[in-house]
Amino acid sequence: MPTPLLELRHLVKSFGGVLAVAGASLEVEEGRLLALIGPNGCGKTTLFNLVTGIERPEAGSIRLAGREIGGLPPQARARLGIGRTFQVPGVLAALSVRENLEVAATAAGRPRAEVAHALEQAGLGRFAERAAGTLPHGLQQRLELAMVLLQRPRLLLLDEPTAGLELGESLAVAARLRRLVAAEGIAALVVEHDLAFVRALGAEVAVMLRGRIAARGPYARVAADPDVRAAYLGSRA
Amino acid sequence: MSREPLLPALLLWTALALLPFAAPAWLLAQLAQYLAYGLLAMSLAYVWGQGGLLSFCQALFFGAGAYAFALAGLGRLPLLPASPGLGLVLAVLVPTALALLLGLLLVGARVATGPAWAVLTLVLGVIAERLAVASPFLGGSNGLAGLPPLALPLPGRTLELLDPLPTYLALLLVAAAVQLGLARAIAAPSGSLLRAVREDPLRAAHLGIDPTRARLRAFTLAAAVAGLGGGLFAAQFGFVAPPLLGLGLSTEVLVWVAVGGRGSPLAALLGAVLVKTVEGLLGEWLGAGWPLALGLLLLLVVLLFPRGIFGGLLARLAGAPDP
Ligand SMILES: Nc1ncnc2c1ncn2[C@@H]1O[C@H](COP(=O)(O)OP(=O)(O)OP(=O)(O)O)[C@@H](O)[C@H]1O
Ligand SMILES: [Mg+2]
Repeated sequence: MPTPLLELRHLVKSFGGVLAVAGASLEVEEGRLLALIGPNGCGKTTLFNLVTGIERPEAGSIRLAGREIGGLPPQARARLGIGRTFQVPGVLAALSVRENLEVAATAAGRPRAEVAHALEQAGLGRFAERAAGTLPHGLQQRLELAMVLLQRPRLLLLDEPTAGLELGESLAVAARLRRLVAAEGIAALVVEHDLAFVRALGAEVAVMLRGRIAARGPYARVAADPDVRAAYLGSRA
Repeated sequence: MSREPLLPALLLWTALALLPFAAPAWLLAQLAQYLAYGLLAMSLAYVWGQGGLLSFCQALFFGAGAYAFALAGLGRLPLLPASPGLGLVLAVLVPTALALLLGLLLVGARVATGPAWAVLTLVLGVIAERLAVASPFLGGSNGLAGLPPLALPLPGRTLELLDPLPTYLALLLVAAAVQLGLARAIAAPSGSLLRAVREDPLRAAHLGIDPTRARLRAFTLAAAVAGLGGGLFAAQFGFVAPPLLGLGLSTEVLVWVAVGGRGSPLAALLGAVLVKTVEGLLGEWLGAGWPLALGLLLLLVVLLFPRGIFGGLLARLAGAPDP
């Protein structure tokens, strides 16, 4: 078996008395699209924070392409090819849309010429000179994704990319993601609450429960898992 | 603001270069002093407006530059000859080194945001002033006087920067060069990385930017500019004293920059000139009541022009996005 791109082993992270991530293990292979679902507060965002370096794990290991990265600061992990969007869109609010993309391109060492292309691709050309913070939520998300893609990441971590979007928009995002993963061969881990979106992704699903990855597999099989039904799907359906 | 509009800057510098044909010597001397303050103001505008680091110790670097110039000019430094020219070089190098050291301690320790940063920079300025007062080497509370003026070796003779006209022209040249240099740094790709760190250090780090390094660079560059201003200030007046390092001046420059506009070094420089001018006028008209009047004026400006009097104007000229 080839080395997985991302390999998480028994990660633990607590805040005060709250065990946010409680021994989570997960592998994401090169070119894989994987949805991460789980009830509110089960530790999905914290897991992302551990992978990108905002938080340091108390135990466990984080490997990217076989290399332990748990001790690196976020900027070093970004340069190794981890791109991430935030649950609250992390655009640079006071800067123009164009400058947001310029920042992403410059930081990644990409030529600025790619900015025009990215603007076009994201359909943000009309808003290029607007301050990013003044854009509607959905466009901010689009901008954020465009910035992350300028990094040319090997691993894409998306934290609820469809939060606040209408169904049509969110299905379009799913289609776009599928194309991206197929065309660029990058791996993507997508946190999502919206099960319609997860089905539209057509991806494998990992379920997080109380800080652990409790199940992983095709949507239909995971949805049939009694634990998952009881703890997650049951409570929402 | 991401781009300093070039045209207003060039117009201003040209007008100021022509001023000696029309202005009396006392006004040139006054303006030369304001331009030295203007360098200090530009340094704060850069580190605060672009880097998001509201430094309460910017005068520390101005004063360090002034003292470095004084010590070298008087030949008080071991192994070094008495030389104002060397003094000016040290006026840049010493604050730069100091900022690097303090920056590694402060910025590196991740206190670059939040109340700890404000308190620490504030305390640093106070400590520096006290140290200068207590140090015989630095002349104690009297400071150091009798500094030799800067001298420009021209073919055939040496031009000493004692008279208002050459002093004014020298400061004008330096201020213009620094302003245009900062404008370039702001418009450069690395300038936008610094603004990204200002906006959201964590997000910036996720894009691959090292926030600590970006801030450290800005902090150090600003200290170098402030030090240059301090050195030229000392050269003009021939004397230095502890208040040049202290909290009082650090607060004053904050006011200039807030009034002028922290988004742009040029606006901040104009803010310094404006506030110092108004201060002088109010002092003449109102006697002891001027600080109160000045305070009220500041309050009005900050409420009416959140980007500063000149900052808003320049931003509009540059077509910057509304915040
Ligand atoms: N910085 C923090 N300080 C204290 N507690 C935290 C912190 N971050 C997360 N937690 C706690 O850790 C647990 C997991 O939170 P996390 O944000 O990872 O959940 P999540 O699965 O992303 O939830 P959601 O679906 O609501 O986004 C929660 O109980 C949360 O309150
Ligand atoms: Mg979350």
